[in-house]
Amino acid sequence: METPKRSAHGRRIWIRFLVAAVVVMGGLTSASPAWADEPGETEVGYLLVQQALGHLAHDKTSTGVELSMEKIGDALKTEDNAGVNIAEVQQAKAALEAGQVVQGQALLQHSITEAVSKLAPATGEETGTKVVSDPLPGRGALGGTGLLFLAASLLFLLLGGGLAYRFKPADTVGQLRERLGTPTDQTAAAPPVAPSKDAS
Amino acid sequence: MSTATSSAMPPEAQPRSRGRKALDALDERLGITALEYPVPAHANNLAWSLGGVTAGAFGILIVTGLILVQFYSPIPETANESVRHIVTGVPGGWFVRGVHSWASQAMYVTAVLHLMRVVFTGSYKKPREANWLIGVGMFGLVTLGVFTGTVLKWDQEGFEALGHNIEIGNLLGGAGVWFSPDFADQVPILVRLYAAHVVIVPGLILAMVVLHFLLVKRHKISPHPLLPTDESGSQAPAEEPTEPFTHHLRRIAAFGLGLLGLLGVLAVVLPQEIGPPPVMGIEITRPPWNFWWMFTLENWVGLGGILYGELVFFALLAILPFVDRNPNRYWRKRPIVMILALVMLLVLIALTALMALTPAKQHLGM
Repeated sequence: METPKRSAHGRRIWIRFLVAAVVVMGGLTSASPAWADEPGETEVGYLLVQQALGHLAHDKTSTGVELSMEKIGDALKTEDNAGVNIAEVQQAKAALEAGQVVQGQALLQHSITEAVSKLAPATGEETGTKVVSDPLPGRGALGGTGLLFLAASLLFLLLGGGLAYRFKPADTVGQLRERLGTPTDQTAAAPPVAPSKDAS
Repeated sequence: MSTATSSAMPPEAQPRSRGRKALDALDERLGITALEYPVPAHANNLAWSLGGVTAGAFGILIVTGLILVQFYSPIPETANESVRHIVTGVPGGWFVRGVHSWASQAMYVTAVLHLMRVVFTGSYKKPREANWLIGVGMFGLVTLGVFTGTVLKWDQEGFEALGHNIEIGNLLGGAGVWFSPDFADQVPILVRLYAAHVVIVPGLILAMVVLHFLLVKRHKISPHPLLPTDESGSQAPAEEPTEPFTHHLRRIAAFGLGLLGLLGVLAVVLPQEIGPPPVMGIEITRPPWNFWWMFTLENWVGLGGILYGELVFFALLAILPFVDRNPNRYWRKRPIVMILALVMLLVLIALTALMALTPAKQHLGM
C-alpha cells in the first residue's frame, strides 16, 4: 500500500516530469526552422528537362506543373543544351500551359532522347536514369492469386495466434507473484535489498 | 498385458517407435535436446519474446530477400525497372516484395519494442551490459538495413536518402569515406550499397544475433521486476517454475507464424508503391517514417542535424547501463531513468509527427 508520504513524492516527480516535458517540447516546436537557401542549380539542359519530368511524375497538380515549368524555363535558357530538342521542349511547355500534362510529359521525355542515348554507364552517384516514368502501384488489381495470398496469410495469422495462445505460459505474472511473493524492494515496509545508488 | 509390462519398465528400456528412434538418432548427432535447458516461466510472455519475434522477422527478410535477389538488378540504369518487373512480371513477385518491405518495418518496430522492454524492466543491468551494447549495435544495423533497402528501390525517395548519406559521410570527413562515391569511383555506389544490404548488414546482424543468444544463455533470462530474484539480484529465483527453452522457441515460432500472416495481409492490403526513377538535383520526397525524427532536425539545423541527432541517440543508449547504477529493476524505483526514457520517447514521437506536417525541403548540395 502506498503511504501518503510516498504518494506526495510520486506526485512531485510527475509534476517535475511534466514541467520538463512541456519545456522541452515547447522549445522544440517553437524553434524557427533554418530555411534552406535556393540550391545551386544545374545548367545541363537534359538534366533540367529530367528535373521537370521528375516534378511531373511526383505531382500532376498545379503545384507540380508550376515547379516543372520553372525547370523548363531554365532548360530553354541554358546554353548547355546538347542532345536536347528545344522545339519539343517548347511544345511541351505549351502543352502544360494548356493543362495537357500527359502530352507534356511525353514531349519532354522525347526531347532528351538523343542526350540520354549518349550517356556513359553510370558510376559513383550518377542516376543512370533515361526514362522518368510515373510511380507504379505495389500490385495490380486484386485477382485470384492475390485473394489466395490473402487467404493463406489470414490462415497463418489465425494459426500463429491460436498456437501462441495454446502455448501461453501456465501462469500469468500475477499468478506467479501470488505464489512467489512480492520482491522485497516493492514492499513499503521492507528494507531495501541493496544499497540504492540510483542515478536518479 | 504387454502394455502393463511396458509401463512397468523404465523409460529407457521401453520399446521405441521408428519415429522416436529416428529422432533419437538425430539428437545423438546434433544434440537438439541440449536446447531443453530450463528457463523461468515468465520468459514465455510476449514482452519477453519480442527479441525472438524480431529474429523471426529477420528470418522472413532473409527468405524473401533470397527470392528478390534472383530478379533484382543493382545497376543504376536498370535497378528501378527491375523492381517494377518483380511487381509486374514475376509470378507472385509483388507479394514477396510486399512481405519483404513490411517485414523490414516489423523488424524495426519489434526491435524498438524489445529495446523499450529491456529499458523498462532494467534487463540491461549488471551482468548484462555487454549484451545491451550488442543489442544497441544490432538496432543500428537494422536501421542501416532499412536505409539501404530504401536506396535499392532506386526511385527518387531512395536516391534522395542516398544523397543525404553521402553528404553526412562528407561531414564525417575521413570516417565517412566509405559513403563517398569517390571511394570507388568506377563503381556505382548503388552496387556497393547492394553488397552492404545483402551481405554486410545481414551478415553482421547474424554474427551479433549469435553473440546475443550466447550471452543470454550465459547470463540466463533476466528476472521479472515484479517477481522476487535470487540472492544475487540478477537472476530469477530457484522457486520460480521453469519450462524447457524449446517451449520458448515453440511460442516464438507461433508468434513468427502469426507475424508472417500479418505481413502477408499487409502486403495485399497495403502494397508498397515504387516511385519514379531518380533525377539528380531535386528534393521532393520524404524519407521512410523511421527517419522522420532526424529529418525534422535537419529542417532546423541542416544536414548536421541528422548526424548529430543519431550520434546523441545511440550514445545515450550505449551509456545507459554505465550511468544507471541503481540495482533496482522495478520502474517505480528508477524514476530518473524512467522519466528520461519517456522524455526521449516523446521527443522522438514529436519530431516524427512534425515531419509528417512539414513539406519536403531542399538540403542537398547546399
